[in-house]
Amino acid sequence: MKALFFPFSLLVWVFLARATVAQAPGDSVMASGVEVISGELVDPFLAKVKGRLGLLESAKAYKEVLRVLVGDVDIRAAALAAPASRPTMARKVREKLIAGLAGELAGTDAKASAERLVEIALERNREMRTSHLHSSIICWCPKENWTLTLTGCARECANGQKGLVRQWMDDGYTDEEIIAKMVAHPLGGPKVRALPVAEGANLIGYAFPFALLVLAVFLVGWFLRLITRGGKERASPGSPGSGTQGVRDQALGDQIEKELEEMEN
Amino acid sequence: MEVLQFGRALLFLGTCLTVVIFLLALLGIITRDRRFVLSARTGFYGLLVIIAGSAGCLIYGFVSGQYSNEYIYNYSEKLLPTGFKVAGLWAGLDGSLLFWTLVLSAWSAAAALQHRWSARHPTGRRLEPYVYLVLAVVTFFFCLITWNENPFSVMPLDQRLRLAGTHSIGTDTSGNLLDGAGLNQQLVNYWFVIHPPTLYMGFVGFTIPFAFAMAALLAGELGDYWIRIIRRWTMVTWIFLTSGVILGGLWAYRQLGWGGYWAWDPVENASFLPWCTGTAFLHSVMIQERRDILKGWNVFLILLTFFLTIVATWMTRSGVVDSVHAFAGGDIGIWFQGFLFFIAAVAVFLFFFRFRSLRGTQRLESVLSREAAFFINNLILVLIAAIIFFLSFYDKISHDWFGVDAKNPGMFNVVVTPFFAVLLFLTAVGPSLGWVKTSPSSLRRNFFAPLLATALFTVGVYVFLYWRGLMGTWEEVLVPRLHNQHPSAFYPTGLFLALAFFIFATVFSEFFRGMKSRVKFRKEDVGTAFFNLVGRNNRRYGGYLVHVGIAILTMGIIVSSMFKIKKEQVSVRVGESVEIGPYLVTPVKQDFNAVPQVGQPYKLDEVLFRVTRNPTGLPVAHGVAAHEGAGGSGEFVAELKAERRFYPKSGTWISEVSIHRRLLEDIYIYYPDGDQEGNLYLTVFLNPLMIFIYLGWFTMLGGAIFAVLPISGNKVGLSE
Repeated sequence: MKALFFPFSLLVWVFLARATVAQAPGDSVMASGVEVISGELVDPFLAKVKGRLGLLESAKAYKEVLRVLVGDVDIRAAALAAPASRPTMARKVREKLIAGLAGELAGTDAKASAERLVEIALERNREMRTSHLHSSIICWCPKENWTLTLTGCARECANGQKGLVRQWMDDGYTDEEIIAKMVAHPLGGPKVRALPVAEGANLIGYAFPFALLVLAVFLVGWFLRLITRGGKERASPGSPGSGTQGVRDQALGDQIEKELEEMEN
Repeated sequence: MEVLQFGRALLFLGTCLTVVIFLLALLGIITRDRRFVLSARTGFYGLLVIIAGSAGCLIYGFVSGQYSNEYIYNYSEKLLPTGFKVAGLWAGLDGSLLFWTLVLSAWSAAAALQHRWSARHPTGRRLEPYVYLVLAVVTFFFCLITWNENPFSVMPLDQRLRLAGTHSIGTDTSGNLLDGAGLNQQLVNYWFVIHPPTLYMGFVGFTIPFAFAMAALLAGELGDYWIRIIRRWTMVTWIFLTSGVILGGLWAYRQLGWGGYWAWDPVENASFLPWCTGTAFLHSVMIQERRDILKGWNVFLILLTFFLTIVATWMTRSGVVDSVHAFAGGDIGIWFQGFLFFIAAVAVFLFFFRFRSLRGTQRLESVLSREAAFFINNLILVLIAAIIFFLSFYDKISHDWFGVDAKNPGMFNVVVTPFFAVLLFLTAVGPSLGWVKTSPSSLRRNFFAPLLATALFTVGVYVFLYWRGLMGTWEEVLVPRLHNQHPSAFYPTGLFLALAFFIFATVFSEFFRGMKSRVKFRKEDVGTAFFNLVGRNNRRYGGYLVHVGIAILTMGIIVSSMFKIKKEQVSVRVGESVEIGPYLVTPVKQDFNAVPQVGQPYKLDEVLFRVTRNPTGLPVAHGVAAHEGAGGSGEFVAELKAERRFYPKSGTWISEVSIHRRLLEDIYIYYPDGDQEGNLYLTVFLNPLMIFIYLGWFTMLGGAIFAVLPISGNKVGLSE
């Protein structure tokens, strides 16, 4: 009996441990999160493409939709879970997506094709996010003097900053959170934003160009009023100082019009 | 060293000569004695010889290696190729001012030479001394600040010996340094030899139209004459400025390794400001010539353009804005501010003093006229310049005035792009509207076919994008966003491509209708009709060609920036592949050349890349070995060499990108880093339609040169 006690107690311990882990609050959040996102995003997509995919080639027509979908999955995961859990949650949703897609795709390697489709979508989404983030964050290399975005900063010293962007993306942070983290970084600060937040004094930066536009529209309006009100009385094509060019142009313009009228008739 | 002392003496002589020219011109005005004016004219030829001699002395110093001169020491070294030694003249602040003065004296001499003919006209004769007066003032200012900055200064012996000790540089028995610190490594590139001189020719060239405008204001000769004279000057200057701006972008593309060409850096912006107002002037000058309106506006534009060239110089040289391109700042900013204030004060005073004479005799008749379209185009161009100017100083304003630490390079695209869209629309529409007014039937005739063709083209673009799998979702395509747009978004991609095509269509329609008219009424064959049409109004059709160039450039900019593919900081070893679009890029060989030599003052780390087509068309994981990832079996596309250079003197690595240009795309490899384990860290780009930027530039150049040729009168219309 004693000989059986140890293995038995080990089994009980493993069973209890598994049960405890399975009932952990994190797992339930994870499971419900995956269900919610799948219900909101994956299931409607699968329902939409049902019977339409067939082979991989026709499925490629949906690659942009898939790119948006995997991006939305990340965003929803960010809304539902803490950063540490987001990558796992998003991965589980994608597994469901792959399984669903594999069911729709024909061929022997349907699973591999579905995985490839999702992989392409993920990579494209990542490229677009990187591009957006790089154009939204200013490079903090000393020689660039805070004049270039990460997009325009190819120096070695920018690698660390680009590495942070990459790492935070991997860690499940959203674009806004990454920019906020970059602002909070000791090397960063508010000036790390390539596009200043439209509040306070920054509003001047956004408003001024359009104030200029309003001024220009006003000027055009004023000018046009001027020409339509007093213009006709003042206009005297043959008056001294107007140059012969104006008179000649008028005559030639009339002749062109006449010729073109004749051509049409 | 004696040669350099002689150069400084020549500079002094040149400065004195500008004073003499000024006095001669003044005497010519007061006494109306032509001999004074003719002497002033000859003075400009002499000034060119003297300043060229002064610059020649500095160049001689560079080539013969007189490193005890502080300027030469800082911008040259023994192993530098001769071309770059000569280019040292404009590498730093002091020399660039001398170069600026040289270009200015060359333009002034050309203007003086032109007066041999234009002085036969009574107005030209009357304006001549005033033109010299203004040119003398501007040249005097530049001679003076060059004298103050002094590119000829020799370092004291103790400084030389200290540098020799610190940087292990040899000296001769007199303590003269035998080597220099070297040119900034980013400048050791052939673009550096051509970009700054071209840009300077553009900047400085606007002094001539400015001088004529000021002369017209001073003399009260505000008729058509000065406008006719400066139109050609402005056009030639505009050609240089346009080329300078584009060359700067292409240099950045070649050198900086980020795969782009325009980053809204304040110094880049500074070069664009006078371009905007100069372009506006080239359009509004036509309105004055043909309709005798906008006289005051034209004077304002040319004064503003010159003012902005000086502002650009001030921005670049005073350290007032943070920029990767700026020269080190000093007290020179004060000089420029003083000069800017002076010319602004004089110009504003004269403008208002002559305001009554600046009113035209005619008025605009209709909003639907070419002159109205040109005027709105003018306003948009000036508006763009004003916005770019404001945004370039935005961080300074927000920091100094509001205490906000904000930067804004992202704001340029957001704010300026809509204005460019309007500008392109007007570029397409303006030339097809009639002078004075456009009848509804004319509107239909001129725009129906181009609009229809544009609509079909835009649909075709989206069909193509869908077919190539590049189209986003409907929301991404149709919902306009000012930032972070999908490549296929209608704003900006679809809209700008459509506007560019609309320009093509309207220009084609103009050619077609003109030829049709000639064929029908003059019974000419198609070829003769074309050559007669174009040859008899080269200014008009040259202008159309410039518009076509702008359309091509727009297409290149939009497609290359929106559809760029980028693989950044990829780590591969020799034999492994990086996938970029349909290609695989595989480093096949790495060479080290550890010994600097004459013409190559650096150690070289060079990697040979083989570009092949991805035979499977399927994604390949980065770093997959060529034999596994099929990089070795794909169709051969090109071999490229990208390199890193180590400059021992500064202890810095500089990378030289390698580009394989194909008809529809550039394969661009940037190799900034590698490690001891044989890992190469690469950034690879696939930039589509980059060739359109070159093509657009050449078309613009061709059109502008054709327009400026004196091969026909300024006839108008299809039936001259």
